[in-house]
Amino acid sequence: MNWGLFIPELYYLAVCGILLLLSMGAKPNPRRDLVTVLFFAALGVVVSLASVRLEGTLFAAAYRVDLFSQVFKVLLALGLLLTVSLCTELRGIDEGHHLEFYLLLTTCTVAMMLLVSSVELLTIYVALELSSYSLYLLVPLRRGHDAAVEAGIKYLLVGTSASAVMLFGFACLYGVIHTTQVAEIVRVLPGMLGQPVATIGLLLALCGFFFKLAVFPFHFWAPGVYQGAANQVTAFIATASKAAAIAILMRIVALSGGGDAYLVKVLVTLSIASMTLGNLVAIRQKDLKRLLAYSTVAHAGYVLIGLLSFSPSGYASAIFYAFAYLVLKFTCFLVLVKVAADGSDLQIAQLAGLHRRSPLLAMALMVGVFGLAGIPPTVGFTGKLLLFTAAIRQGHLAIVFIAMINVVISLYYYLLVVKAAYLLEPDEDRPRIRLSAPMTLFLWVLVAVIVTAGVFPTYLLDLADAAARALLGV
Amino acid sequence: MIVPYGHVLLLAGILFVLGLVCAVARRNLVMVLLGVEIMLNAAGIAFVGAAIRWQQLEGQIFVLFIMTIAAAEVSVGLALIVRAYRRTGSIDQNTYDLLKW
Amino acid sequence: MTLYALIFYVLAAVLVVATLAAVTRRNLVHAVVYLVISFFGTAMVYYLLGAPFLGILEVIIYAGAIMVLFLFIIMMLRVERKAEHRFSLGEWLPAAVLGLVFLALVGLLVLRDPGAGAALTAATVSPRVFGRFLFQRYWLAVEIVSFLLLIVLMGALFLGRAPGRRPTGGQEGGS
Repeated sequence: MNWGLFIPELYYLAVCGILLLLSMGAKPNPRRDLVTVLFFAALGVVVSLASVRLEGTLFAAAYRVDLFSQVFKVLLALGLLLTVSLCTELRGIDEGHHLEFYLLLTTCTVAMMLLVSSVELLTIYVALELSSYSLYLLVPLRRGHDAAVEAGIKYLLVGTSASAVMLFGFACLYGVIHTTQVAEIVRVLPGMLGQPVATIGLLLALCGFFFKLAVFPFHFWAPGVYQGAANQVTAFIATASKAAAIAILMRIVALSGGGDAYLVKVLVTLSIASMTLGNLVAIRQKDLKRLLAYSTVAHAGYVLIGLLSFSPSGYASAIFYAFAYLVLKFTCFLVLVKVAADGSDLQIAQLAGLHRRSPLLAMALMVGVFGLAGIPPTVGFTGKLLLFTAAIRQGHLAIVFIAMINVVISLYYYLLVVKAAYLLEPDEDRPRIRLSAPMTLFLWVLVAVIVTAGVFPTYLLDLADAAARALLGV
Repeated sequence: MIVPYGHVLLLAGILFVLGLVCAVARRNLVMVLLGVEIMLNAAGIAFVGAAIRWQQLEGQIFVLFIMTIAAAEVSVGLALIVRAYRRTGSIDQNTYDLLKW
Repeated sequence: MTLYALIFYVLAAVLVVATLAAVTRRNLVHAVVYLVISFFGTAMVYYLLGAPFLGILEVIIYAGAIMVLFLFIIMMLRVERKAEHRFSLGEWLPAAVLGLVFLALVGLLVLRDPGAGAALTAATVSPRVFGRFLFQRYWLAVEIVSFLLLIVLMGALFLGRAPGRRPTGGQEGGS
C-alpha cells in the first residue's frame, strides 16, 4: 500500500498527536500555542499543495485519492490556516482550553480531509461523524456566554438526528444495491431509481449532507449556532466545514448519474427555497453573525444550482464557487473578529464609523460583502456567472431567473452592512483599531486575491474543470 | 426462508418513525436524545436485514460502527445536558430560549 | 409460516409495543426501562437474522452501557415531575399525524417494491469471520472511530467538569 498517497492526512494526524501531548503539559501560554499551531497549519498547506497531483486508491478501495479530493484538501488546509490566523487574541475561549481548541480544529480538518477522499459508505459515515463531533465539542467552548451551551445542545440534537436519517438512507441503499462502494453504486443506481426503496434511500442519504451545508429545510441550526459559538469557531464552521459539505454532496449527487428527473426536481425545489428563505430572513437580522448565517443558507442554494445541472461544467463551477465562498466569507469574519476584539457578538449597528476607525478593515469588509453579493469584478461575480451559465446550458432557465432575483434581494442587506460601516455615525467615539503589520499585509493579500481571481479566473477554472472530470472518473 | 426482506425493512421503518416522532415532539432534552437512539437502532435493524438478504458481511460491520458512534453521541449529549442543567436547573426545551430558531 | 417467521413476528410486535411505550412515557425512568426491553428485542432479532456477535454487543453496549448511563444521569438530574405533566394535544398531534402519513407512504412503497419479496435465508456469522473481515477490509474506519472515541472522551471530560474548577495557570495538569 502506497503510504505516500496519504501524506496530508498523516501530517495532520501527527499534528493532532503533538497538540494532544502539548495540551497535557503545564502552564498554558497562548502566545506560544498560537505560534506553534500557526506554523503547523502553514506547513500543512504546503504539504497539501505538494500532494495535489497524487492519484491512487488505498485501504481496499475504500479511499480514493484523485485531483478532486486533493483540491478540496488544499481548500481545507487553507481554511484551517485562515481560521488559526484569526486567533491572535483568543478572548472568546478560556485560556486553559486554547490547546484543546486547536486540537479540535485540527481534528475536524483531518476528518474533513478523510471525508472528501472516502468512496465507501461506511468510511464516509465515520469521517462525517468525526468532523461533526469535533464541531459539537467546539461550539460550547465559549467563555462567559450562556448561549454557547444552548447552541451546542441544539447543534448536537439536530445534527445527530440528521445523521440518523442519513444512516437509514444508507441502509435502504445497501438493501437494494448489494455493495457499499460508491463507484459500484454509481454504476448500478441510475438504472434502479425506478424502485421506490432506492429513491427513498438516496433522498434520505442526502439529508445528512444537506444538514451540513445548511440547505432548507435543514438549516434551522445555523443562525443559533453561528450566534452562540465563539467568533473563530463560527468562522471555521462557515468556511472550511461548508467546503467539505460541498465536496461530499457532489460525490453523492454524482451517484445518480443525472438521469433522474425526480431528483432534479427535488434539488430545484430545495435550491429555490434555500435561496429565497435565506435572503428574505437575512434582511431582518441585526446581529452580523446571524446575517452571515442566513447568507450561508442562501449560498447553499446557489451551489445547488451548480449541482443540479449534473454536467462537468456544473460541478466545476461548484468547485470554483467553493473556493470563492471560502475566501469571501473568511474576509467578512476577519473584519468581525478584529472589530469585536473581546470575542463578543457584533451587531451591525456596532460597525458604525468603521471607515474612520480603520479604513483598511472597512474596505476589506466592502470587498468581501460585494463579493458575496456577486458584484463584478470580484470572484463572487465570476462564480455566480459560472453557476448560472452551467445551469442555462442544461435548460434550467426558471431557476436561474429566480436566482438572479435573489441576487438583487441579497444586495439590499449586504448594502446595509456597507452602509453601517461607511455612512452611519456611532453614538460615542470609538477608538481606532490598530492592526499589526502582518495582519495589514494579510488583508491586502485577501483583497487582491478576491479581485484578481474575479478578473483572471482562468487558472483556477482549469483546475476546477480537471477536478470535476476526476470526480466523474472521466 | 425467514421472512421477506420487505417485512424487516418495514419493522425498521416503524421503529425509525417512532424515534423521529419522539425526537421532534418531546420537550424534554433527554427524551430527544432517546429518540435519536431509537432511530439509530432502527437503522441497525435495516442494515442487518440487508446483510442477510445479500448474504454479505458489510451490513453487520456497519451496525458495529453505529453502536460505537451511538455510545459516543450519548456521552457528549449527556455531558452537554448536565452542563446546561447546572446553569439553568431544568432540562425542558422551553427554558432554552436565548437563541431564536 | 415457519418457526423462524413466527419468532420474528412475535419479536417485531414486542419491539414495536415496547418502543411505543417508551416514547409515550412521562416518567423518564420508565421510558428508559421500556427502551431496554426494546433493545433486548433487537438483540434477539439480530440473533435470528444471523448476527449473534452483534446481538451480544447490542446487549452489552446499547442496553448495558448506554441505557445505564442514561439512568445514572436521569437520577442525578432530579427532574421535576411537573416538567411534562400534560401532553398538550397541540404538540403531539401534528407530529403523530405526520408520522402516520409518512409510515403509510413508506409501508406502501416498501411492500410494492419488487425487491421486497426477496427471501431471507437463514445464515450465521461467527465472531472469528466477523473480526477477520472487519480488520481486513475496514481497518481505516476502525482507526477513524478509535480517534473519534479519543476526542469524545476528552470532550466529555472537560464539558462535564463541574463549573468553578477552572484551570488556573499551572495547577491544572491536563484536560
